[in-house]
Amino acid sequence: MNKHAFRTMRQSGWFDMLIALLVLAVIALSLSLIGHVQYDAAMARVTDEMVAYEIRQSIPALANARQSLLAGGLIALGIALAGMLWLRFVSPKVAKSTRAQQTAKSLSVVLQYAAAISHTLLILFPIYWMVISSFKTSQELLLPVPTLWPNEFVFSNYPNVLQKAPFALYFFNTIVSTFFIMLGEVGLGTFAAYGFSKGRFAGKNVLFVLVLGALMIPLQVTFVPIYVLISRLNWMNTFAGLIVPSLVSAYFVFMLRQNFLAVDDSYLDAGKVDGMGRVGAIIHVLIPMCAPTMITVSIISFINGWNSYFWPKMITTNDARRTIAVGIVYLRETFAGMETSNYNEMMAGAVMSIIPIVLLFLFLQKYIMTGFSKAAMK
Amino acid sequence: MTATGADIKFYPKHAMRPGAGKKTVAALLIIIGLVVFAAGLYGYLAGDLQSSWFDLPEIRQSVMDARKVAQSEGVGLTGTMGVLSTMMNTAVILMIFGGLMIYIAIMLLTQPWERFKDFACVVPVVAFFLIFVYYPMVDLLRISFTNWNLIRDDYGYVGLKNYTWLFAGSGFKYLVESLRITVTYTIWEIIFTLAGGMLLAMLFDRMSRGFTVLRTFVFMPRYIGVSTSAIVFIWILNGRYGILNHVIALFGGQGPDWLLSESTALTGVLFLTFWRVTGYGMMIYLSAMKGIPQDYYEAAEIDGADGPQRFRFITLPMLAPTTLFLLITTFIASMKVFMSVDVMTGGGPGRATNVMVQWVYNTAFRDFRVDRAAAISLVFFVILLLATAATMRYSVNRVSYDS
Repeated sequence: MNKHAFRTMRQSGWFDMLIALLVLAVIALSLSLIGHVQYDAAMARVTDEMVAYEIRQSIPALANARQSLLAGGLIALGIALAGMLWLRFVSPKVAKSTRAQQTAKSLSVVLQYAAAISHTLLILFPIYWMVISSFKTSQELLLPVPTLWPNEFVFSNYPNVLQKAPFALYFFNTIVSTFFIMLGEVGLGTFAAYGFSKGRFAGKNVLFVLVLGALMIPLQVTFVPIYVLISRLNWMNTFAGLIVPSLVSAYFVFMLRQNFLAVDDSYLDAGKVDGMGRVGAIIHVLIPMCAPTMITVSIISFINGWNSYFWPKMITTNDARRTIAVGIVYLRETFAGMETSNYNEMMAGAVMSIIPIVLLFLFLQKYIMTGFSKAAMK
Repeated sequence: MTATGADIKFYPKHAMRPGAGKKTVAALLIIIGLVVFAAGLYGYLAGDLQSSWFDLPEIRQSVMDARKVAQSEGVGLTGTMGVLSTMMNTAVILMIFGGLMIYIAIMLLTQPWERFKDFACVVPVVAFFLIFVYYPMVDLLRISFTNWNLIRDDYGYVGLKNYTWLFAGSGFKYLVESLRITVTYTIWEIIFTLAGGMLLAMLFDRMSRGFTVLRTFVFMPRYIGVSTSAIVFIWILNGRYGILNHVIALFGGQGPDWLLSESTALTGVLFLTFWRVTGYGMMIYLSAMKGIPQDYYEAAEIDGADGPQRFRFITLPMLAPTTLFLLITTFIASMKVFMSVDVMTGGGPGRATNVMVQWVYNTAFRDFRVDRAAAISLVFFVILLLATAATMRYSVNRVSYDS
């Protein structure tokens, strides 16, 4: 009887997992032990005239992480042992009765809901904290115990931040540059995708390799020469400097081409017979047939344009053409020296900067998901 | 080759043949293209390359002097000097446009009219990539051989000096340090995306309206701008008033000054990374899980496989292509990390979060050493390329694509 229970336990997949956890726990605990030994050895060598910084430098990595390793190892050990006990004593009883099985099943559903909801709340917490902080007074922010709900709602942070930084200008710059970047990325991308998928001309494949190669060269590598190029054109602090270097996205060209390739040529031929030109074919045949991808690409292009920080930061040296993603960071420098007391106003700025994106995401998330599932399927 | 419009010879006399007059246009394009290209080449030789041919050095010097005079008077350059200065500033763009014009003219002459129109669709994109992707790559190499300081207009060529600094000089320890930090960050981001995403995908894998809403919220942080969320996390991680340290204090611990102390700054940045990327990994895994045929699970259930076994022998192998996709894209994206680090720590304190891109950025725009920044960029690019190629080569053999 006992042997039988032990065998069922060992056949269970959970058992393997618990063993793996046990091994991990043993590894973590022994590493922690080594760390403790190392720590003691390092501490024995410490002389009085050493400063804290030097002590920290002289300690090896394991000694530094010894506490975390110990805690992690103990937690893993506890879970593993508790799981073993459950498998050995509780599981067989559950397996025997149908009612117990049903209870276990509904219990697991409840647990799933509870875990999922608490994780979602955890993820949403920074957003909640941002919104709630933006309604607090400066005194309330500095309370020794933070309040989860403001004692008194203050709305003055919003007008204050609008006064302290040219937020309206930031918004204007962001909207204009995002609009043109989106127009360029989608428009030029569509034409190029047409040329590379349905067009026929000598050297098409060579030029397409050029596009694929551009996928491999990120802005993060080439930004220094591009900065030099733009500054020589006197495009610093201009819309041209903000927009032109982001006007084409190799990724979108590639993605749209893959989609256009899937459209059968006969649709285009039918259009041609009716006297449809290239632009007509793109607008009336290809775009409607690839509508989900077109929408996804436009939304992602918009969001990327709105959130882009790297290039706008480099190209703007003053407020004139600063976008909101950069402006929000410079807001902190406007408040430099005041350290903490102005976080409520910064949070107000942050709230204003994410409202369009959050709205867009919540209403159009269906299309964003479509794009991602396609990317994942490839 | 099928017949297209251009191959049909017989048109009514009165109608304009499509593509008529293209020889004239092509000839004009070639002439203009050659002139523009020559102007660009002249400017490039005189300005960037500082060639000693003909009397270019004197011309360059006179343009530089004229620029200085104009700058001190606060006016733009005009006349011959203005043209020469513009030619030097826009040299490469002129060369690329001139070359493209000649290319277009050749295509116009050799390709049938319909095919030429197809070609015309891709020209803008090709021009863009030449100017903003490929030329910068070449320029990076050129700049890395100079001793260019951004605040000085003048520079000379010094050969491999920047590379010796990077590999044999004082730069080497920074390179190793920066690579170590970047790789640490990358490993954590990959763990968050792959392991966190997989765990969340299993947790959120339930068909119900409520779960759809929950998934949306978990996925959302990825679309909130990094700079904004970084500001929020700076507040959350604040040493004295931040909510995180209050929570730690509730459990009896004492949280550090996350972003201001060298040993915890990277952890602080990783909080933001965790918040942003786990939902993304979850979404990718969930949509891939939908593609696994349900009968596999049914067959396994009949054979008596329980949860972990079904996961181990069906879900995990079937998700291998997705995992590879996530691994490579996350690797490339996280090696380029800049935004969160720049806003939260600016590479500091000390050099504790000095990731590669941040290092290049600070070298170029804080120390103004564009030459060194260019050399680091190139080395970074090679590392990125090699690592990506190695990952792909190594994993393609181990992943089954049988779905």
